[in-house]
Amino acid sequence: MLNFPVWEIPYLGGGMLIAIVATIHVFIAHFAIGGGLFLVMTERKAYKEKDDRILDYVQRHSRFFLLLTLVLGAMTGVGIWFTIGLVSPAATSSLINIFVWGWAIEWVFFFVEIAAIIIYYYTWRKLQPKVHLAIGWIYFISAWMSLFVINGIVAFMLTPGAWVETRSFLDGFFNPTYWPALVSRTLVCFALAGIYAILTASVFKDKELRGTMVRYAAKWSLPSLFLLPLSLYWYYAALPDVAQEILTGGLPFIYDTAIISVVAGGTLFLLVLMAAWLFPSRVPVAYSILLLLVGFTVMFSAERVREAIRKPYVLYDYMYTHSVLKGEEENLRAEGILKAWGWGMYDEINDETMIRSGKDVFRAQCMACHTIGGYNDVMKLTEDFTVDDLEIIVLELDQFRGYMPPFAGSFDEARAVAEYLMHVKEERFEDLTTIRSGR
Amino acid sequence: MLETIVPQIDPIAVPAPIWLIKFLLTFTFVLHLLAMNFVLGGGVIAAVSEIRGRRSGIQHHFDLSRRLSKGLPIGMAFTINLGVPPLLFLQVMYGHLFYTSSIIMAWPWLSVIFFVILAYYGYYLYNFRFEKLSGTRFWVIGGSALFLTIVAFLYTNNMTLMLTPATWKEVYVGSASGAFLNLGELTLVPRFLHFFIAALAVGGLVVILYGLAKQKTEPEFSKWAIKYGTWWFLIPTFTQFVVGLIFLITLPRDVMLLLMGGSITGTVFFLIAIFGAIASVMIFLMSLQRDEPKPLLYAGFAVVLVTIISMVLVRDVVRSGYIADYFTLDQLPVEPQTGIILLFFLLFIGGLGLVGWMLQKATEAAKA
Repeated sequence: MLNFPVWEIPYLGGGMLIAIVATIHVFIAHFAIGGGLFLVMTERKAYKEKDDRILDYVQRHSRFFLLLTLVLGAMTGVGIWFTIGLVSPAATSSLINIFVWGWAIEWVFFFVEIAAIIIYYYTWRKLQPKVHLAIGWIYFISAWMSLFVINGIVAFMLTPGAWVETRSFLDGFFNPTYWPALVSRTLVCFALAGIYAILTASVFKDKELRGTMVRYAAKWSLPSLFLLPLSLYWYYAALPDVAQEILTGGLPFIYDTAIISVVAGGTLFLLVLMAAWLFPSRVPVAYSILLLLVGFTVMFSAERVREAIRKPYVLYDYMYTHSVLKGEEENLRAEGILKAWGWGMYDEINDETMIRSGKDVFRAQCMACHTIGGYNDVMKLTEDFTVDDLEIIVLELDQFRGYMPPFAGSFDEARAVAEYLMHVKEERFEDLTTIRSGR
Repeated sequence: MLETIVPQIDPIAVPAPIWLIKFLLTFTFVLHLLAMNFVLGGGVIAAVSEIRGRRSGIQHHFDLSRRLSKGLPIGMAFTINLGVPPLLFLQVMYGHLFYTSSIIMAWPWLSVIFFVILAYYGYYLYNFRFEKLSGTRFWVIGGSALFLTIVAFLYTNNMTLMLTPATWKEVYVGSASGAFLNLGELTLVPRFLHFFIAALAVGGLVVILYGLAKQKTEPEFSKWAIKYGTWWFLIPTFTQFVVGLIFLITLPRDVMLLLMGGSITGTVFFLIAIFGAIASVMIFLMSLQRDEPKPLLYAGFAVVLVTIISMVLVRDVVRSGYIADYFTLDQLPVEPQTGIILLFFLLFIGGLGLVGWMLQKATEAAKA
């Protein structure tokens, strides 16, 4: 196994931390792509209709666009990279090694992208319209190409497809969910472009222009939101059986999260439709912020689901969530996880080292997903268990607790982690009684 | 004392020859350093110029900070962008060391993102609201420069921590919460200062460039900026001789000796770097006496560039020296993916061409 230390993140746990950073990023990054096309198409519209007010609008919109995508978008992208390296170093290392040249190519597009958006922004009304538009196109195409590349790597985690056998770059890259994911994400890009544009239009004083621009922006969101369920179904059909099972009720809270995403998506469609149809020239800023919040909910829950249906793997069919490679667990059961992992305090488990070693086993095997007292709280999940129950369950995790990876440790280590969890429980119980009795 | 643990090397082969990865790491890291030095050094210079301008009443200071305000956000974009490839190639070669040290100092390391975002927005605020901010300008630009200084300090922490596996287990067994800073490391402060001061010096060179660009249109500002920038280069570089020396003698003995005959590459480039630093100081000192300093200044830029490249190569020797007991690059499994490597270079050249074309159009527009 790739024996990295495991970072303990109180309350949130690693998965939730990644989800938060990642959703902020994708919510801006998808806009950075769709919004790029929005900029050029709207600029073109302004030239065509010879409408200087629209040109003014796009220019102002482009400043907002620059400040949001170039700073927050780019930095949260680096932020995800930092975060996954901290939370799942083994998986990150694999993704880097498999796809070094994919990452490098993505960087090239990122480089062209930022050069283009900066030049586009600083040359407003200084270049011939044709040239300025061409720079906008270069921006949009390179931005979309960076999605084209990163999508292969993101989709790989859930459906590595033939790569598991062949270890070939292209098999891993153009994997079973590559195309449906690319289409879905592209649709999201355009949907978000429209919603952000409603925000920048809603600050207009000129009522007539506001109406025109809100309607125009809605034309970007509505068709994309309408088509999204189709492409998501295509995506669903390409998923591994177990992932489909989790999604359709195998894990109730994931099913609920998926439902939230769908309902929020439908709500977003209706809200945009209402704004464009009923009161385009009177859309208040607060309403457009509401649209963004609903959009954020869609993205947050959808990305959560995408991450969760990967259980029990972090890289499907290759590496389990606790960084043990598939097939390694047998050996680790015989040899013990603490020895292979190396970051525990003691080498041997006896009565004296039991609790501490249990804590180290917890760090090595459980902490990738569980916290104590926070998200996915192991205390809550084992509330009524005795220490013997715990030990048995730990040894049979992949059998009894659906979608968890097998415990990759020895019998002694299973006992130790059970004792440790019991110990924490008792400590907490004592704390509670102390507080209650006012001592 | 607990035994030293170094995580295993990833069994997935590196899909390129190591020399290529190393070359790209060095090349892109030099570019990143130049951009980073501009945004960090330039930020400090802008902040200092705000104060000096107010005290001395010399308008040139404000003209300079106005110019810097326009360049800094763009410099930030490229510093971040050019930081990606070196970090990528570093992970390819030293991932097992780098991820581990990052986890040991997880929160400080993650806070880099936060500080860069703050600094970046500060730079944009300084640019877009330059006139309106007036009195509070110093605080905005000074705050941003301070945040970037913190980022530099955090980087020094991680870059030293990844080289000292012997520290790791002790810290981790004590707490897995990732709140550590490598403050016990002897080279930490001199190494940080060495980089920080270099950023000021390179920032000075950018001021000289601003001066050179305005020779015809604003001769007075130009003359002032060239002098001012030259001093911004010289004073930090004088200090550097002391700081660099301290950094050198705080290095572990066997690593230090690599630069003094122990490693041919290390020794040669170390000598080039030292002579380069001395030569650049002399050249820029001489330029102060000249009425037409242009040729000397360009010679000075070239010498500094050679010095920086040599220093980066020396840095690499130091890194290998530190970890020699735990890891050497020939331990990595390698299976090159030739087709994709070619695709990368084709796209890279194409991308440079596109950016070149856009820049040309932008320059035309600026002149018109």
